[in-house]
Amino acid sequence: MSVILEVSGLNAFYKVRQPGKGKKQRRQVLYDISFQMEEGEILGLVGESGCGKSTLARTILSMVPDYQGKIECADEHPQMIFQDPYGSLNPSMKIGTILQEPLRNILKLPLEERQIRAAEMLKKVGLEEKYAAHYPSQLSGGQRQRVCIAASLMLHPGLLIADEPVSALDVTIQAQVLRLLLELKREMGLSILFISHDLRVVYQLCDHVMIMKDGRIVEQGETDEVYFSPRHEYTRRLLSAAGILETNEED
Amino acid sequence: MLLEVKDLNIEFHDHLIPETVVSDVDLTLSEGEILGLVGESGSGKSMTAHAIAGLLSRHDMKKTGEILFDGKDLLTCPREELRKIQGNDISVIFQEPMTSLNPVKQIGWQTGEALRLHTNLEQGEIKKRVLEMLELVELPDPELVYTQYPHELSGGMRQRVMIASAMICGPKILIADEPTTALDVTIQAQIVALLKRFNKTRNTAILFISHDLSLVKTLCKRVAVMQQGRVVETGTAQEVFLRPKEDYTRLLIEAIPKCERGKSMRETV
Repeated sequence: MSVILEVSGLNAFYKVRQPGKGKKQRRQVLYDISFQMEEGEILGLVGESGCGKSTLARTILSMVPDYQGKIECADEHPQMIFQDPYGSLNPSMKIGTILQEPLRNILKLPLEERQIRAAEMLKKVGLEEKYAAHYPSQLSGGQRQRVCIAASLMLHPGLLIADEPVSALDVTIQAQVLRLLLELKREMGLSILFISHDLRVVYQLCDHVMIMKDGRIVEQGETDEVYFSPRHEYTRRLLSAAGILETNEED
Repeated sequence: MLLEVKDLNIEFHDHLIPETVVSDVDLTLSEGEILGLVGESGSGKSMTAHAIAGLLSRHDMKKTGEILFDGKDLLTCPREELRKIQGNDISVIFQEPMTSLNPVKQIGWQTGEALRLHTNLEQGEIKKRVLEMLELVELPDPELVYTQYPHELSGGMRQRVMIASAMICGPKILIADEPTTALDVTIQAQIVALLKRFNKTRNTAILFISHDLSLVKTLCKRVAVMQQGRVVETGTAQEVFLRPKEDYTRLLIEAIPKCERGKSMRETV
């Protein structure tokens, strides 16, 4: 097994304007983050909103300019999928065109080849070929999230960062999308950094988990270990709030 | 029986072909009961709830059946009478606390709105009751929150404000439409505990609408399952979750991700 992503000693900063003060201030949002991902691994990143989960994802994809520390990614084109399948697809483009975009812009493939690959990918994520001619507005939420996953896989990335990919979906659809991600991982040897605030979903999917709080990783380890013998107080609190860890107190 | 919904049908007439979104729904809610209404998006949960709250008065809609509350049929009773009930006997809280609060009014003003509409209390008394209620929903520093605007509060605090303004007149029924869906797990647990407490101390009946079955399981005594506009199964939470009669209910329950060693999808799929 080779390492696909290595992050060590990562600190990241945002510029924020404070009310009443004119100048923007530099505020630290990530503190000393270190972890490794192996090829073919699904790593869960859990924490409440505002704890810095998405910032970490953005920093890995070099969308946060102000950071210190080491980020080493063995994959040339790591990809990302987002929570909202309604906002991440261009409403004026047909599904086929959306899927072909990276092939046209980056690989510069001819039209025919692009169409073949787009059709193949649609099949892989469980959609019929006819959807290539549809617009996003003609699809349901679950179908759109499948399209987002398909689009992110067009360049056969080794690393996929999924930021709350199933949070906007119904439970039954959620299960289908999770199953799809697991199948793709097995078929294509994909590594996934899976960001979610839903501890139950993370348990289904992830080999390892990291628990994040206020920009720091407070606990990381194998999923079963973290879930059934949590070491950090905060992890325990999260697990009992989700009803996973049985606590003695009533109400 | 506090509330009785009989044979409720809702049809949209905004296209050439009428579309039925709720068909033949029967529901009952007794005093102090928590009833869970579950189903996937588009199953008609919110439509049913809106109809009960009297929030469906669009001209392109046809509603038939009866919604009996306190001897009145809410579907046919005159608007003035409905107004007397809304916010007074029946209140609603919604999923998105930002869009349900008025962004340009102070929290104190909006929390006390129902009191101004339904009672003849003096301003001083209203303020006193609002502050008490803000304290009761566990908002830190009620005096400060009273003068703040919605954008200055976090999502969890906004939902507390929503609950405070829904509970201010001491309603008999609280309709909670996905009240915790937009919140973090820890905040979600706090809000659910708060609703439970109001149910216990004030005997408020709650119609709790959610697509989160594990949450409904912990909160509700009875559950109704909706699919494509119909109630396909009702029963006590225990009956429905342990011995579901319908295939659809079983499907929904099986789709709840479980956290049991060796039973996760990564190990079984």
